[in-house]
Amino acid sequence: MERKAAIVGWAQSPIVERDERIHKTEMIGRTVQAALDKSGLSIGDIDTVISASCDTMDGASISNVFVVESMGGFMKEESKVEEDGAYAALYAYLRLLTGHHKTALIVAHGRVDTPPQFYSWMMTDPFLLRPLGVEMVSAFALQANSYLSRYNLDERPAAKVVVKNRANGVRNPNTQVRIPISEAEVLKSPVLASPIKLADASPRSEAACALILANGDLARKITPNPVWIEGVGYNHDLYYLGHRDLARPESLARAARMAYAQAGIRNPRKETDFAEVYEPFSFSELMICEGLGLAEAGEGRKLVEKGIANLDGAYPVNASGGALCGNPIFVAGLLRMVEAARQLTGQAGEYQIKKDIRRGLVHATSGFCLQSNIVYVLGRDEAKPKPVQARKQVKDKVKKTGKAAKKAASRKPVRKKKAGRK
Amino acid sequence: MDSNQYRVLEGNISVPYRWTPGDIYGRFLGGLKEKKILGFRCPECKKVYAPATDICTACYYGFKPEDQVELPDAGVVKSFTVVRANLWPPKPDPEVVAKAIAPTKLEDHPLLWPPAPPYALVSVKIEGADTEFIHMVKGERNLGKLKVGSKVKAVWAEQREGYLLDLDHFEVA
Amino acid sequence: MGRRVAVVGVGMTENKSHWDCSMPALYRLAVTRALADCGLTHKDIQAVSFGQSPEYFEGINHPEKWLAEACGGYLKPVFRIHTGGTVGGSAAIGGYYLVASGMFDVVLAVSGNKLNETASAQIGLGTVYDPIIGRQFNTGAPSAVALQSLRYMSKYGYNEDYGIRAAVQNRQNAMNNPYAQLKIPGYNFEMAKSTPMLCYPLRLADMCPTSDAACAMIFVAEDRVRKITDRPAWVRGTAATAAGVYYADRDWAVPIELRKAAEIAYKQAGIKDPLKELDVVELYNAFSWQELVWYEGIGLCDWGEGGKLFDKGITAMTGSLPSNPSGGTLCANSIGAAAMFRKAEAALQVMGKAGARQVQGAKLSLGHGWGGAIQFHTIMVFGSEK
Ligand SMILES: [Zn+2]
Repeated sequence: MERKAAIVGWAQSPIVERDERIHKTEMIGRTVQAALDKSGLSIGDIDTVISASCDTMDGASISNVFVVESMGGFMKEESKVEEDGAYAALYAYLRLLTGHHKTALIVAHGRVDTPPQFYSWMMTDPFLLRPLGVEMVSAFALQANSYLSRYNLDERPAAKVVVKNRANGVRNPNTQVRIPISEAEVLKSPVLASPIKLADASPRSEAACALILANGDLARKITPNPVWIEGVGYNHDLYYLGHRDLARPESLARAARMAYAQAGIRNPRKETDFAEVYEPFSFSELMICEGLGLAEAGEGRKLVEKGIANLDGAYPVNASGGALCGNPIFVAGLLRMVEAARQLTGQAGEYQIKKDIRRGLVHATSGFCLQSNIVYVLGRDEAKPKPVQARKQVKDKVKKTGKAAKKAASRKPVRKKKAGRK
Repeated sequence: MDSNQYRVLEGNISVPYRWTPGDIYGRFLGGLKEKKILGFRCPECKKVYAPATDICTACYYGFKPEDQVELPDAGVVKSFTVVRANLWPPKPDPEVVAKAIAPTKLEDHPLLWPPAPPYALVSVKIEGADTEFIHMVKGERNLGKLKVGSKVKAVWAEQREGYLLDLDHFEVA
Repeated sequence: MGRRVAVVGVGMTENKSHWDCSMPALYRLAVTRALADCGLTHKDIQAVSFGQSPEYFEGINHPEKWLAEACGGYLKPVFRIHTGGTVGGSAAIGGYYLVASGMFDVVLAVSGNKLNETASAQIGLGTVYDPIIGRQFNTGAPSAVALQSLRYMSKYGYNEDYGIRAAVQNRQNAMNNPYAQLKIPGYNFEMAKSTPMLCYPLRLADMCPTSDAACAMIFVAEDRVRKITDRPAWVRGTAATAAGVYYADRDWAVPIELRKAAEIAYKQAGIKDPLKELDVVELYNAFSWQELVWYEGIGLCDWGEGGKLFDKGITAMTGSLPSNPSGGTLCANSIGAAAMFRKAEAALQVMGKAGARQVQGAKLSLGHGWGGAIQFHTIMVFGSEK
């Protein structure tokens, strides 16, 4: 099992439908500063910055041009991945593995500057899908129906996913939809595109999220509770919806296999303790759990029917409420990593998983119908999470390490964030 | 004085495009104009792709015009979704849309904005093809009969010009 | 630092209007050429680092979703990097990290754009400007670079002819490059000087053309290199840096972030005196004056000395450090592929496979990329030796 880099800090802005009071750079700047504060680092300690955002969503070409300063990328080795933030974390992880960099800051931001339907419709090719007006909901609905008809299922298991995630979301102060819902209410909610009903769909959301990764030795100096990346895998399937088997996303199975091989996992259901998955729609969660190998094909429903995936179940899935309670595009996947890190370090508060957990799975997806998937295995040290030290002490420890100390001393002044309105 | 008005700056981006289909997509779209569904058979794995793509992905074979095969304009529904709600924001003034987000030919293709619900997005396996064709089924009568496994047949538009919607929709046989 | 990595294959498409092929076909053309260059097949590729510039150029969001399978990315690990004009360089660097990290042994990096799919690339480039402050006088890229160019001219007292001369040098070099777009026989100073002034101080001759193109590079881990080729281009240094747009004391004629990238890359490559040690450089000179600014940025000379270096003829094909034997971005600019072309050309030089544009005996080369709002830079240094 590889333990070469760990998550040592994070922060998110609360997921909201839309906050028209603040500019994007404020949202990002505050989030990055909060992540640095949490890990006791300053921007001078960061070696490389990788961001994730989308031109089409931001309505601006090269959308990192004007936010690179607020995300702390000024005069840094910087790059941008135009995928979910979980992919930006992957690229940062690769950079740490080479030893060129020792710390990395990952920043994802997603604002609904354009309606999500345009965002996803713009993903269609000009010849075969765009004329049909295919967008996220109808594409995933087509997939959901493929799945239901393949395994002769009805819509109730997916409704149970909604009930579970919404119940968890009530406990998560950072998420957007915090209203419980009953199975009957889900089933009665208006149909958007069969079988997807309003309650099966994730909301329209915006948020920013920052994550800090550090190399092995340094990670232990920064935090008593590093969350290790034990494995990561990702994969990409065919584009055209009619060219692949929508009911069984092969790229997900392959991504999971790659991550498990690195982490030395044979049976994920037994060797990991919980999962945070990016489910744009309720049906997706069932398919994702199967793709991750947590259930046999067509039997993802058992996880919700038997309460296994509940917060107090044997294998909690989306204890945070998942994307069904808040789906900021480009951020939602990175937030799954943050939520897993919160769980593994005992910082999840009201939605902390009560049983002893040592290892969790994180999943994120991008594209239509789970076309691209990324899977992480995250784990904590053997010992129980330690209480978090006062920030000052942590900072001193980092200062003792040669390079970071030098860098911090020689760092360029960074534009101070204005004390913002609340 | 608080000069901040907490307001949103509204705007849109208007970019005209002219997408190049190239030989393979071009032939497929040209076939639709002639009321034909054309597939492309990979000489290596013998799979038939309909609709067209430039390559057989598994073999990484680049299709050539001679790989073209003509298929019947009928097939079997493999999956579908009946879109009941207007998933799109309220349709703005067509002029604004044409300027704002849509390709230049919007005026000619009112359907570029999705049709008013209800309509179904269907995945149809054309007879003789190894892939599925994503298209639409329209009309309450058709929607009521739609099932996985339904046989469907193409309904062709009166005016055709080498565009996907030359095949107006599929109807349930 | 990580594993040693080499480029073993390079594939380029011609820079022109590819009216005859779709976007997937264009990408596939570059990839098949890269595979053929090193005798590998698509099955050998373990992962793809995909690059393409702003979506508003082609009107397709997440283009890798549609195009990756045309790059041999079917059921393989794929992610897309997008950093504007530098994207080709950033994707190449992504390819390097995928191998150097130990995650994969054989990785394809591919980047491109089909700028002729839009009525004008400047509309797409106009959307780079901040929608709240700036887009109201949305003027595309040339006027921003005009500001940079005039700043440079006036700061150091160079006359207008320097830009023209840099353009002519590149256009003459392009005659040797089968992939370049602007190839004008007998191109000379008078011809360039007589072109219309588009936005002062930039004449038509000072600007790059609009191209469709894709470029692909294959990165391979140390222990696989010798089986594939005896002429690899070893990656000796990589850096991608960012500055900002708002920072105080910003001077467009002094790209501090490029200097930083160069310092990082030279340190990795063990280069102390780049002017002496490098044998050839490929610079992302989308506009003529940038050639001189980038000389200074990559540390060939001090700030303000770029024009003087040019005067000495060092960077001509006959000089001791030829710049842009390919004709550079001034003669072919697809944006998405342009920065990768610079890396690929630099790699071809140390592989000894640059054909008519080969710098004899090139052992150490540098490929550069520029993008964003004149704020992102990428550098890769290649060597014929490890
Ligand atoms: Zn085949």
